[in-house]
Amino acid sequence: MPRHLLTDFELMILLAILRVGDGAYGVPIAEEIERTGGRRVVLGAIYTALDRLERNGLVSSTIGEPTPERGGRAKRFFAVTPQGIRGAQETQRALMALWKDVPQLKGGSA
Amino acid sequence: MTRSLSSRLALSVLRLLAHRNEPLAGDLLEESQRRQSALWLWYQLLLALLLGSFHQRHVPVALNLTPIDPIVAEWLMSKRLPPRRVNLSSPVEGVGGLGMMIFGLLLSSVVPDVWWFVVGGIASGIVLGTAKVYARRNHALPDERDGLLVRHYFT
Repeated sequence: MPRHLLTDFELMILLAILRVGDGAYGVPIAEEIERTGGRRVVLGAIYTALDRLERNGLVSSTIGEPTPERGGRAKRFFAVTPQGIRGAQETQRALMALWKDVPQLKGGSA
Repeated sequence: MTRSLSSRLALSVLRLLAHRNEPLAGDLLEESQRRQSALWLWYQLLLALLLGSFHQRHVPVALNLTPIDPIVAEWLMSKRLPPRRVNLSSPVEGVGGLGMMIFGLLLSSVVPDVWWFVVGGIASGIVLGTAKVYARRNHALPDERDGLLVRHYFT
């Protein structure tokens, strides 16, 4: 049993980083969550969650070159660490185990 | 209030906050240029402030005296380098010993009287330092005064 399961937002962020691949920074991560997750996100909330994930060793970040279209401000690129991948898998397993034993979902009736 | 004024105000607030989290500020700027919506920027700014997203975390501090620029700090952390060292051979950052010598020669030839201020500053520093050492010795803890603190470490 994992010691710490990810919240739904943390899991979405990890999966969005994996989907975006190289060059995953705040804007494409937010776009990916909005597009596939169907929810509006606040960029500040993404950074707060990413800081927490980085403190827990689930993601790592590097600073890119400053670009003029961003007012000379650099991008912060994120990547999921092996520990992050394990965390996502453990959360998925725990959710699936909960999911499959809900009788209403099996029969299709609420 | 017109939309353009609102937009300019939001961008000014963003610039004020940018040094606290440069990557987030850059993202907001990039996205606001694409969306062209002042309302969107205000919404993002206010929520980011409420969530505390403009507090850069884990920013190392050089000698615990002055904060480093967040971008430099992030770069140092990514490279796993220690925080910036202070060049003690020169009191002016970015100017080496040779530069200081040339500066001293220029001062001597153009305004030699300025050296009296330099000498005065050094003398004041020595007097102030001596006074602080004297005051510290008179108000030292018993262990420090007797040298016991040192002995604790070396015995």
